[in-house]
Amino acid sequence: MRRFPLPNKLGNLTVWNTSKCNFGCKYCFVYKLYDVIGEEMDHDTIDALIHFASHHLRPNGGIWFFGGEPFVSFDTIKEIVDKAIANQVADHFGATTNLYLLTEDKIRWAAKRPFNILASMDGIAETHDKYRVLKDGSPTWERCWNNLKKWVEITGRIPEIRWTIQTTEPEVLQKTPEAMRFFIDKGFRVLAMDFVYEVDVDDDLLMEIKKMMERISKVLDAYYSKGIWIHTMMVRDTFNALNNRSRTLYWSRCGLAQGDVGIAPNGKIYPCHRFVSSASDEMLIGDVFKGFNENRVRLNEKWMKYPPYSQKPWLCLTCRFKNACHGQCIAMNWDLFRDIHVVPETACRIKDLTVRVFELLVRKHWNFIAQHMGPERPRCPE
Amino acid sequence: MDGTMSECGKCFGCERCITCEKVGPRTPMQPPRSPAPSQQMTCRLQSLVMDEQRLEQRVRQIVMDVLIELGLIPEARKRAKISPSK
Repeated sequence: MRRFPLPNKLGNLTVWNTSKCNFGCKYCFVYKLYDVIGEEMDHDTIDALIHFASHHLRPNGGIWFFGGEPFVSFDTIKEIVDKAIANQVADHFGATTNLYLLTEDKIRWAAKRPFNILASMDGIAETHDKYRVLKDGSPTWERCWNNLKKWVEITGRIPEIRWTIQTTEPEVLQKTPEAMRFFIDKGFRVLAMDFVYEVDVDDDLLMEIKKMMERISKVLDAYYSKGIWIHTMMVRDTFNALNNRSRTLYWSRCGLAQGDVGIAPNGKIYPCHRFVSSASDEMLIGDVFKGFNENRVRLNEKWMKYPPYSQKPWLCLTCRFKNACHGQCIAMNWDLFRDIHVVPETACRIKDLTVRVFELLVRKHWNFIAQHMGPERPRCPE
Repeated sequence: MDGTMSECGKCFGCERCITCEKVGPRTPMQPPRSPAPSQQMTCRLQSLVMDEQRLEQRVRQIVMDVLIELGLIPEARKRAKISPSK
């Protein structure tokens, strides 16, 4: 078996500085399947992390915070960022955050550093507050939105929006295009909208999803016609599926510690940030104290043996997304099937539908879209 | 990785670079440039390795399609009921 040419230097470390969260989102993968202990990274682990980064992070690499909600433990963020800057081990930083705990002081602290955020918001209040609530069920949209506005005002940086579409909720599907227009009109240009794939969908739901996609396609058509670029995963996926003349190569991808790893609060290293919540020894590839173990290579070799395929394998034979498919989120595959190669049927059906619905839009604006689909591989927003 | 710098820090914009294959197609803003003479051999070797890797992946993909077509890959059963994403 061939050894995969894994780089010694990584482009990014995704660090769970804490596994605590102030939210009780009804769909969160972290707390649905696994009992994640409310840990925070301690000083010894942070020092080991900085040492690990000095060996394994490229000079232009970054440290990205995830969790839990990273800003629940702002002190650990500050300690890691300040030590990384002092030791010159990372070039830039950021966090995936629910925005709720962002105060003016924290934003001003971030504004003085190369620190960005990925803002988790599910559209307008009517869609967001259905799922993204505090542990006692209280709504969160208003405070999150105000903090997001404050972030933009103080830092001048417009973050990407990480937006989960609750696939099984027709009301959410109906309001999503309108919510999308709201964010675009407020100046947000990168909307990482993605579906919940770990649920079952029937034909009626698929029809609702199709209607939603058709309305989103019309919204985007209007902006593209005015020369305003809006980055969405739906257009990206459709463009890639149509642009590839044959199937995309599947060996090189996220989630396998090829360019990025996930680091748990206790210093354990996993192939990506999402595998941290799975906390399975089968996926453990080392720790920040001792470095990588042999599992990193073994996992990649296992992946290389055969390409990913659908939960219902025959769907692959007619899938319109096939040329761009490299297995979706392999941590999701692992959570559902204990097999990184098996893609859930819902993901297959929605991706196939995406290409069928957005093909007209993408072909109409082909040159405009091609101009904006840069060579950089987008960060995994799962 | 931004398509202008390889893992080893030596990118000369070769058309079939192993690194750029990872990050997708080059945009019109970054036209291919000629590699420096000292890098030409390295780049050719990388191209050969890439060709071989591509071929191997293609063969594996075709074999999988054939196995699916023959009904030899069974439907997978879920182990977990729900774990929607973040």
